[in-house]
Amino acid sequence: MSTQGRIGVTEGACIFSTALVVSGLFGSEAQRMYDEAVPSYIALPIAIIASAFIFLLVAHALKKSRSQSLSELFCYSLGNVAGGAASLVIATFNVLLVSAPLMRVIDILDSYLFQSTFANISFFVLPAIGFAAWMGFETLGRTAACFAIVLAMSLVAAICLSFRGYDTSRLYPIMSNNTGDFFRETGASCVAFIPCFMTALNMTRGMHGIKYVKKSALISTVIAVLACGVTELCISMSFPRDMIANTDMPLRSMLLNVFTGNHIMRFDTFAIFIWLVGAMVSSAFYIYGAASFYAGTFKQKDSRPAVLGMVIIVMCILYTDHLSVVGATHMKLDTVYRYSFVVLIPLMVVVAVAALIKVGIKEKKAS
Amino acid sequence: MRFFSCLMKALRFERPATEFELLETENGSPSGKYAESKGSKSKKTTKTHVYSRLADNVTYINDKFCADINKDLIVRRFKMLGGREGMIVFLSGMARADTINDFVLRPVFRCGRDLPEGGEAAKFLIEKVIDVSEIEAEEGLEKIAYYISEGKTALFLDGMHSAVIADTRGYEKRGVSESENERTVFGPKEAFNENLRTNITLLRRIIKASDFICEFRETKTKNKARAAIAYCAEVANVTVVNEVKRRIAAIETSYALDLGTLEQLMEPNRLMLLPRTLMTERPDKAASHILSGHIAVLLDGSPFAMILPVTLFSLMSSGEDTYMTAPLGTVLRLVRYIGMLISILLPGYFLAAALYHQGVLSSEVLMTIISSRRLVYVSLGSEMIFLLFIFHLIREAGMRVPGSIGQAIGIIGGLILGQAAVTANIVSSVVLILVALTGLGNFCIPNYRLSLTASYIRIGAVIAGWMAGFLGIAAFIVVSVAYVASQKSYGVPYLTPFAPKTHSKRPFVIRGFIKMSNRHEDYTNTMEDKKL
Repeated sequence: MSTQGRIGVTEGACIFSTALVVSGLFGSEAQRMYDEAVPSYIALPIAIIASAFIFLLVAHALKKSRSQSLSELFCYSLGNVAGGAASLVIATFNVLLVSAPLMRVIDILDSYLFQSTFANISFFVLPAIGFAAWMGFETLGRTAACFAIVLAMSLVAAICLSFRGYDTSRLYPIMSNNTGDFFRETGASCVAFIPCFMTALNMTRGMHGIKYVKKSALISTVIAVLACGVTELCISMSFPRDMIANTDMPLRSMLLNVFTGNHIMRFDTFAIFIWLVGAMVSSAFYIYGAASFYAGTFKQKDSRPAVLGMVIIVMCILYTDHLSVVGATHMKLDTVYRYSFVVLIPLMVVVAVAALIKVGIKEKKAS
Repeated sequence: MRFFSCLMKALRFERPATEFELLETENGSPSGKYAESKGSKSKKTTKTHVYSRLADNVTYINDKFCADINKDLIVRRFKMLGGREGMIVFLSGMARADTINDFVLRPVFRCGRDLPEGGEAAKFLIEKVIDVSEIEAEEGLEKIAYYISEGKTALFLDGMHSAVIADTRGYEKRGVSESENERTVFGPKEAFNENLRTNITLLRRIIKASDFICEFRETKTKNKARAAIAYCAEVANVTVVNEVKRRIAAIETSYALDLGTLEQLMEPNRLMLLPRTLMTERPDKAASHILSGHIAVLLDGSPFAMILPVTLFSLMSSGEDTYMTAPLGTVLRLVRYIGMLISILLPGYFLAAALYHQGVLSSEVLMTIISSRRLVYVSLGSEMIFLLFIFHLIREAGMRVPGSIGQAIGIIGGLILGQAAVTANIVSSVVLILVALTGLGNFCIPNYRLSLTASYIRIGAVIAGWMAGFLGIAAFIVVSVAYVASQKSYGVPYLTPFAPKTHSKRPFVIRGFIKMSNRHEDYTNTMEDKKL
């Protein structure tokens, strides 16, 4: 029996959609899109759909090659050494995807809600994430199933409460003259979503096979497209473009924008913590995914011992980027994000195509 | 070295060999890993057989029961017509003297000359002489000693290679009374008592089904505690039944007097915070669970039945829900769940809001808190923990003190202590009201052990809110939900059918209509599910 436990389609859809939505809303560089006059409410859904297509391609290769997990597919397509390196690349992206949303949420908490340091806030968040990731894939799926409805309701509430502030005139012009910027930003946004799909493919044993992984992933794609698209549309209607580009968390600002003088005004504080819970669940999933890729590379039976190491790496990244914000170093995480799709997308396509070619050759030889 | 090996063990996940997994593809077939042939057969032990000489049997029985100091043991020797010697052995107080005199001794005396020689005597006595409904021949002296301990009477004859065991049990026992801890407005009032036979009878009166099985198992304890595993053979999952038998057979300890002890001995994970079984003293509740595919374990000497496997939602349901109409039952359940959430989260939320996020509260509430705490000299967190501790003290004291005085404890604690503490500026009235609400929410939880767990989780939430406000609460909620989601009861995940979602359309929070056809719990993969 697999040590990672097993979950069904519902739990799978919950964990994948949580990860996609959190990555899309808090992990992607939507502010930069506004800065370059790219409509995020179009770019993000397209990025999700494009990532889903890459997922389907790789899933098809996984099925054809009869590999049990993505790590095995990497080894099948590229050989053991290159395949192991590719697994570690995906693990690295997973770790980055843990860090990006957490950094944003913790920055907000640090700036607006707590008289505390960034370090102190991280000390509360990371152990909880590490604990959830340690408990395994089965627990993660069920935990996500518990929180998915709450997260969805908080998003819907945020959108509905702010409706008085929407002004469709703020959407124009919908697209700038430079379509290259649009495609570049869309491609860059794929980095926020592809690792989630790839982690899903690494969990086929934990979901009774590739068929159910595909089902869960497609359901999650629809949910993420709707959630990210509608939310970004609402944000675009709430503020002028240049204001969003300079706002840390426009979703929170959207809630503050409208109401005054009653209890619902303070929903933004609740909302931040609900989103923090979502970010923690999503981060636990990515950490577990990174640990499973690491374990697949080094042929470890159980991936959970690697979780502790991944948590420490995430902590180091959080501190490093925070220090860069205050000017201590020059390394910025979004620099990595901006251009890494040039590596990630071709890597996945090459892996899938190589596997399909190998399978085709084998079938020809057999016939 | 020991510290290093413990650290390595903690970092390296190892599933314990005895952990039971109920596979989703498991069809309940006994041919799996936990098949009866592997787990639950008792080991063969060497038997001491009945001696043919009566004097040797007398010596054995006297040594076994320490007859020189154990005056309860009665050894009645006699000589029958025809000169054959015999004896009956029983325990005074456990066996009924009238039954022994009228239905054992008198017929045996009368049949003296007709009694055949040797081994045929036992058969003759059983078939033609002794007028008792339950009677058998037994050759093993160990077993005979056990029967005598149970209250049966053993009849030995000189030259007979077995003893005749007659059921003459007639000890004093508590009658069937009303349930003390699980009261309902509607529904039956009967409760289990300490006698296993009576409890099984109560179940059989409700479950008049031919497939209702009660298998008896003896634990390897000094008190030879006898357990009964009750289930419906056509419904229950055989794998779970076999697992229960295997766990009972694996128990080796000095004594197990109560089902609570037995449950802990059967559970491989001794550090469990959540109850993995449902203890009930109501036969109707036990029967309802048995009919829906669960298994009940009863123990002689314990007035409870242990139902397994269970989920969080089954622990939160009460018999009252089923005896009301669907809308009323739904409202009752929702009140219960809201009460549980208030009980766990309200104190921590209040601390977090009052200490870190005052903007969340309206200005009127803030003014009320400030004015009530103006002269209180302890910190808000200390005050909250102090009051929660006092609440626990009052609850424990009320439970231990008997009868009418116990009710007075609640009045003294609640009214006098609370009011005095507010007047003395030790606590504030706002916090006192909150803790009272918390306590009421705690009492809404129908399962006592789950309510205790909620109390401990609440303390964790209070500390988390005290240390880090909503951040601590959020981290605590994630950890708590992850922990609860990881727990299993005999292979069934604790949050079934919510997470994992099962095929059953039967609602688990909202009370569905009774006439919904399939009322079995599908998460145990009952045999009926396989047929559908």
